[in-house]
Amino acid sequence: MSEPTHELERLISRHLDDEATADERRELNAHLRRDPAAAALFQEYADLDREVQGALRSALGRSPFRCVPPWQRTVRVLALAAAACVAVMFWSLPGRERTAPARQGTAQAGSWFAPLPAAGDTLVKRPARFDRPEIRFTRPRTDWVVIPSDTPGEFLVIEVSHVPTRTVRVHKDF
Amino acid sequence: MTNATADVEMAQGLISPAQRGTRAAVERMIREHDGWVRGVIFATTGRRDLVDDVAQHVWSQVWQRLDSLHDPRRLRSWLYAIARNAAIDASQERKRRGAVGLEHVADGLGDGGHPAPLRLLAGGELRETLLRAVEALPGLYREPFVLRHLEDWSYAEISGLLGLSVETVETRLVRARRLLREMLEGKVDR
Repeated sequence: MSEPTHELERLISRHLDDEATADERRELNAHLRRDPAAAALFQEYADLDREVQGALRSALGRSPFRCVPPWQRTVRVLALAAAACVAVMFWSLPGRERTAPARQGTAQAGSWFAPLPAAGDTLVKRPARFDRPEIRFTRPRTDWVVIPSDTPGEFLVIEVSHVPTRTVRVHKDF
Repeated sequence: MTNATADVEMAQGLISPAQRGTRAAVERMIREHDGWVRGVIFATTGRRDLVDDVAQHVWSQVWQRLDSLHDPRRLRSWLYAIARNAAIDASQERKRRGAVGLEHVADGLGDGGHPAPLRLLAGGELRETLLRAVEALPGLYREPFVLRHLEDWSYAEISGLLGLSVETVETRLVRARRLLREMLEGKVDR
């Protein structure tokens, strides 16, 4: 490989690694402006670097982004706090039964806690009295789905835990 | 405060509690160092399928031998030695069992000088090809390359860990990039 190309590759490499000095950056920029082939080479190395970095971080269990900036952490904390407030708000809605429905023994038919019909009974489909919007809270490890029942102030909360998985290659060992 | 000073202070605040068996300190140590330790394992073996198991082995060794680390400033090099040795052992064990060697990784990178145009490949396929190319790099180029790209380490940090001069690290990174570019010529979408 010719000496000028080697020097150009060294400058590109230093630039991509954030190691280039101000002089080296100026020199590289001047070179790229006057030589389209050099600019193409720079672009090729930059693309390669970006793709390989993403592939390596993804394959070895690293996030494509090195770390979460502080402002993102703050936003996440605020979002979680807001989700918690909404959950508390649902929990303390006026009209919500304070005693457990099972103890009352007379849970209404529209309640999530109404007893199941005895075997042999016929299930009659009845239209919901109002739309049941679904509210979903999503976190990396758990989802919560909140569905209001026909009984005002009563909600079905479904917690879905994400099961962490990993692939393990199994080898035959005789 | 320089990064190095901050690292030393962080290590000093971490090692003693970890040596006393404080679980939170051990967890923090793993969280902070697991990334590059996995990078070293991958760079040493050139095999992704070994990384999880060897990393687990490394951390169990660290847990058992933590008392032998007397100088917190040496945490990185101490971890590096454990990770590298464990990776070499795992590679040799794999070879003894007759598993496929490193030669397999170059498969599919090209077909006798007429590489398929990978710019047409889907993301997953392209990623696989790139990783195979990195695996096919000679170990001495792969190690600084992986540490640089996985952890964004500076030349000084890499040279400190690998015991090389900064100039050698720089040269190896230039050559690693050139080799990758030659292997993947025309295959990366732009």
